[in-house]
Parts: sequence; C-alpha cells; structure tokens
Amino acid sequence: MPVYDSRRAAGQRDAGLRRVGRITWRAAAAGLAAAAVAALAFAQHATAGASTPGTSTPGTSTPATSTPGTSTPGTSTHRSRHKHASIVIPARPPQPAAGSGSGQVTSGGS
Amino acid sequence: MTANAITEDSFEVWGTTAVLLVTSPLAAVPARRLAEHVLADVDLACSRFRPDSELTRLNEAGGEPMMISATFADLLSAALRAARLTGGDVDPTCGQALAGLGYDRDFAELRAGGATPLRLAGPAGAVPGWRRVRLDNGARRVRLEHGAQLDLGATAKAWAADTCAEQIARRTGCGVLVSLGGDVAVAGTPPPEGWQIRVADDHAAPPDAPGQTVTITSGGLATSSTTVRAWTVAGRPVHHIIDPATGEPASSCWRTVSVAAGTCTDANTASTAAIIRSAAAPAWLRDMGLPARLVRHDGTVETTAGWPGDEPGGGA
Repeated sequence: MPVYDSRRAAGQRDAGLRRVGRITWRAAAAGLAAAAVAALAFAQHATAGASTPGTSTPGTSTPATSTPGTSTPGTSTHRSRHKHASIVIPARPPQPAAGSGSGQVTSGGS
Repeated sequence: MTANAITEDSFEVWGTTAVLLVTSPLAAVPARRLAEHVLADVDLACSRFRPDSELTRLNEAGGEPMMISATFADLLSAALRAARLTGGDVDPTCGQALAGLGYDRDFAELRAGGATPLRLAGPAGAVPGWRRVRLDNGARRVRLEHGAQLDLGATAKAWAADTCAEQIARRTGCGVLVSLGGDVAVAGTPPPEGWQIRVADDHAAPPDAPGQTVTITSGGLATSSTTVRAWTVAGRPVHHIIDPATGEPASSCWRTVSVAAGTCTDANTASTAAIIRSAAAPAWLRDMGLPARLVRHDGTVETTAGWPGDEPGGGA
C-alpha cells in the first residue's frame, strides 16, 4: 500500500516551482532581448525614413546616402556631408577679417 | 602660403556670377572644368526654365511617376531634407506660387518686364507641400501628387556650390572656395588667414558697400535677401522667397540674413527659413547653434551663436 510521503511531495513541489521560475525568468529575458532588437531596428528604420516626406508609404524617399551610383564623380562624398538629421553647425563660427586681402568674395542676395 | 597665392576665376552662370578661388595656380584650369561639368549637370536636372530639364518634365508629368538621374535624385533629396529640417518652411513645391507671380522665366527677362503674371489678385493659398513629393531614391523614381510643381531654387545653387568645392578639393588637392551668386562653399585646406567673405544685401555689391567682412575655414556661408531678386506685380513689390503657408512672398522683419553652417546647402536652408520665420528666427538659430547675421529693414543688425560683431562704421 503506497505511503504518502509529505516531505518528498514538498520537495517535488519546490523543485517544480524552481523550474517554473527558471522558465519564467528565461522567457522574460528573451522577451527583453527581442524588444531591444525590435527597438533598435525601429530606430534605424525611423532614422532612414526621416527624409521620407511625411509618409509611411513604403519605398518613398530614402536618405541621399543610399542612392546607388552617380554620373558625377565624387558625389558620394558630397552626400556624406548631407546625411545628418539636423542642420550642421560649422566647425568654427566666422571670424572677424583682419583686412580686405585678395581673394575676397561677397555673399549676398542674388 | 599667403593670400597672394590665391588664384581667382569668375564666369557667368544661371544669371549670376560664379567665383572660384583656389590656393594653387595649377588648380585653376581643372577647377573651372570640374565646376562647369557639375553646373551643367545641375542645370539639366533642375532648371525651371529649360523645357528639357528633368524638373520641367516632372512638373509636366501630371502626377505620373518618372525615372530620374542620380544628380536630380540628390538635388531632390537635398530639397526634401531642407523642408524636413525647417518644418516645411523651405518647401520645394512653391513652383506654382512663383509662376503665379510671373517668375516663370529667367529672372533677367522678368525684371525687364517680360513676364505676364498668371495671378494678379487674390490670395495664392498654401503651397501643396513637400509631402506631395514621392521620391524613391533607391529606385530613382519620383512622383508629384496633387498638382505640386517644384522649384529647387532654395537649395540647388547651394548644393551645386558644395558639390563643386568638394570635387575640386579632392581632385586638385588644394583649398578651394566656390561662390555661386553669393552661396559660398569651401573645401580642402584653407589659406592661413581663412577665406574672406564680405556679407552684404547683394552679392554683386562693391567691396565698399555696407556690410561686414568675416573669414571662414570650412563649410559654407549663404545669404538670403528680399532686396535683390525682387520685382513688381500689378504695382505690388514682390520677391522670390515664398512663405509656403500663404503661397505669397514672405513678409519678414529681416531684409537680409547670412548664416554659416557645415555646408552651403545647410547655410542656405537656414538663411531662407530665417527670412520666412521672421521675428522667431533668432531664437531658432540660437537653439541650433548656427552663427547668423540678420539685418532688419532699417539696417540694424542682430547676430547669433558666435557671429562676430560688426566693425565700427561697417553698416548693414
């Protein structure tokens, strides 16, 4: 006749709870990792789509940096100057000119 | 190297003056050749006054998609980027608004009185908006929705200056300044004293005209003004900087705005937007850290973000 062993049963219950806890922990970690990957992918997509003229339509404007090839040599380097997501400030603000030396040009309306 | 080593070349293009400065005399000839090549490319891509330009054909495509060149794709990207970065203040879909003011032909012809304005009275209304431009840059395909008509005047000249400067510097290995009607881009190693630029209302102003002389060593500097490309429609003075919200010439408290930025395209984007933003412009420019010089209609000057103060007696 089977004898009910309460200590053994409690041990099995505890072991089962630990397994469930481990599985829950791993599932949560996997979920967090997946969320991080999804967030990263979304951020990259959002950055790429930032030049899209206000639309979620797939395939509309992509940044100039993604344009393949060009008939104008060197344009790819030029494009890299325009990939920024904001207006680029100068490396150094204009300085007062010491004098009116040669090689001066005028910037004005045209 | 001294300033005397700088070699200057200038020629007429797009109804204005192009100036090339290079730090080596040996670079002058290749610099001119490269610049002419780029400018011809840009003209064929986006001139509003050439029936064979891609822009004209797109404006006449009736909303149908069109395959475009890499150059036109880059120019459109630059224009859409300017629109996005300014919250739509610098909008490429103002072609119809400009044509409605008679600016549907070369400006010299317009100023001579050769234009027939399509719209003489009544409000123009907001322009269609840059979101109506559907550009697939990877496939080089574009479509205009809702009758949008493009004009890339706010960015194309500055983009061309950037491209010329970058190509010349890389091909010749010398320092270069390219000015296209006052849109200035520099690249390569600058002269020790920097590139000297006079800022004034008019790029064709003589050196002693009111203004200020500054130096830059990289990037670009551009000036937008309501005083130069201006004409009259039925007795009403108008200019070429369109406020997209109204479709009319911007009513600004500034007559001229000069901005320095990382590129000439960005500088011109900011200076054009500043004219349109009017009184809100200085705070906007300061928030972005963009050095700028803003001139009111009475000639008083406001500066932002490290732009040097005017020299005594320099005037505006």
